[in-house]
Amino acid sequence: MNAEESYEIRLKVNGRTQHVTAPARRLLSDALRGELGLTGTHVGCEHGVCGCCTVLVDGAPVRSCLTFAVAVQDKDIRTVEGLAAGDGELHPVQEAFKECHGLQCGFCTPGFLMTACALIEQNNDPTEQEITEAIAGNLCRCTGYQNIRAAVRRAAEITRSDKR
Amino acid sequence: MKPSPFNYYCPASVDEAVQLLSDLEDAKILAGGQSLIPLMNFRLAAPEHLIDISGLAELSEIKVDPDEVEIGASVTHSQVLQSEQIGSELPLLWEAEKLVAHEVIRNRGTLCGSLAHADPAGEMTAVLSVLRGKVQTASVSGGRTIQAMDLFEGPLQSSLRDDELIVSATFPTLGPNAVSSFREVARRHGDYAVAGAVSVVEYDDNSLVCSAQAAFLSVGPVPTLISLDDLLVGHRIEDVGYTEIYNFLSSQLDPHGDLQTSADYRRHLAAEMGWASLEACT
Ligand SMILES: Cc1cc2nc3c(=O)[nH]c(=O)nc-3n(C[C@H](O)[C@H](O)[C@H](O)COP(=O)(O)OP(=O)(O)OC[C@H]3O[C@@H](n4cnc5c(N)ncnc54)[C@H](O)[C@@H]3O)c2cc1C
Ligand code: FES
Ligand code: FES
Repeated sequence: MNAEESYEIRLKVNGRTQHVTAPARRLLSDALRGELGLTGTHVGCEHGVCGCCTVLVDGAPVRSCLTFAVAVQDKDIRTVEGLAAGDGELHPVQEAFKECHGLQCGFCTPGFLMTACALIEQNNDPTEQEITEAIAGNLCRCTGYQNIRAAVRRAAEITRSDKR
Repeated sequence: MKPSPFNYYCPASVDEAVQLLSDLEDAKILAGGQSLIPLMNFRLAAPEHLIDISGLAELSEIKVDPDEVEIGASVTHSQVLQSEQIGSELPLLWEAEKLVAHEVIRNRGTLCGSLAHADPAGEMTAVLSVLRGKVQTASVSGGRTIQAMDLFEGPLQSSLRDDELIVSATFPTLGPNAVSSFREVARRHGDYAVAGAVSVVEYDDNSLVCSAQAAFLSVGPVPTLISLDDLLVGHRIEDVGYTEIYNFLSSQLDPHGDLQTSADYRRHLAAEMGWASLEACT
């Protein structure tokens, strides 16, 4: 192959449209971290197994390591940086993970937060089974899953009480 | 690791997509990318050109008729699970889709991509086989229908030509006297199955079996279809019983061993799953 072609890629991340010049092979995870400096999205395995790169695309959680940036132009992308409000007030999932000790080293946390955020936006009163099912695709190597489940449960609770 | 360089195309129609497929040397279809991108990240695949069909509206249809369910090539696993109509007309497809990876993968991965990928560990390949479904294709020289039994040629090898894409997959629905069930064992929920079986049993008016088929996943280079007609027709599954069915299935299965498990244990698991799925059809 000759010199690698560059693409002008429009990415709408956390409500802001930005332009990135990158080859087609640029993974969304790398475009977020490298080109846009949004290093909150972590990269572990790059084959879809660990879940720490999970971001929301049009509201649905997807693996940013298994998505080419060029293929999600103009879609609504949300990353962990977009969770807290402009004034720094934490999102209910962040608040709950803090409160319930849902993290230790924090490597897996962005993926869990985005996955939990999508779950709670669809259903703010999930059953234990639904919580377990939702986070089953995310791996955590140090906290253990009990606190993480408790945090998701608590995040739903905070969301419900905010609504009232 | 990172993928090697490629050119990206986002055609506006199927016609344009098949033209690109035919014109470009070493081009591949990109659907959800949930199988292809891991392979590219590990440089096990390095196509020069990718043709993205995930946004094609003409491939996004789900058609549910009383006799069959047809699913377009850009329909994701999650969209199949969101179709209440599929849930009521072909619950087997829902049961199987829930076993495909995790929701996050299902949000981008497509059902037709699973079939084109031809992974013998894929739930969709087994369901298409046991229901004797088919896929419709398109190419510059015209489309064709490929029956399930002709689609899968080897591990990750389908009978699609390089210039051909799957437009849709069609699954026949089950008659009122047919029952189906899917059972598998995976190391963790959402992982590829170590072994699994999907059975479809039809009954006559006296509640005796008149047809019994089982398709097995992860036990060979392609989904393995086994007919239990000789053993079960004219009988009740529970009367023939576990031992006879287990022994019959074990004698028919010839799986491989790998890092996960030995060939013998996989044969045992597959025969157990075969029995469990048949028992669930009683
Ligand atoms: C962590 C993880 C776990 C998984 N677990 C499972 C599991 O348990 N069971 C399971 O079945 N799958 C599993 N998968 C795979 C998943 O189901 C994929 O979605 C699916 O196999 C491929 O669909 P896709 O749309 O992503 O295809 P892609 O990755 O885009 O494409 C796969 C292949 O098919 C070709 N292709 C795709 N669409 C077409 C078409 N319309 N016409 C011609 N060729 C086409 C591509 O060129 C490529 O060669 C898993 C994936 C991951 C990452
Ligand atoms: S880095 Fe994407 S799933 Fe592990
Ligand atoms: S908090 Fe360390 S991996 Fe989950």
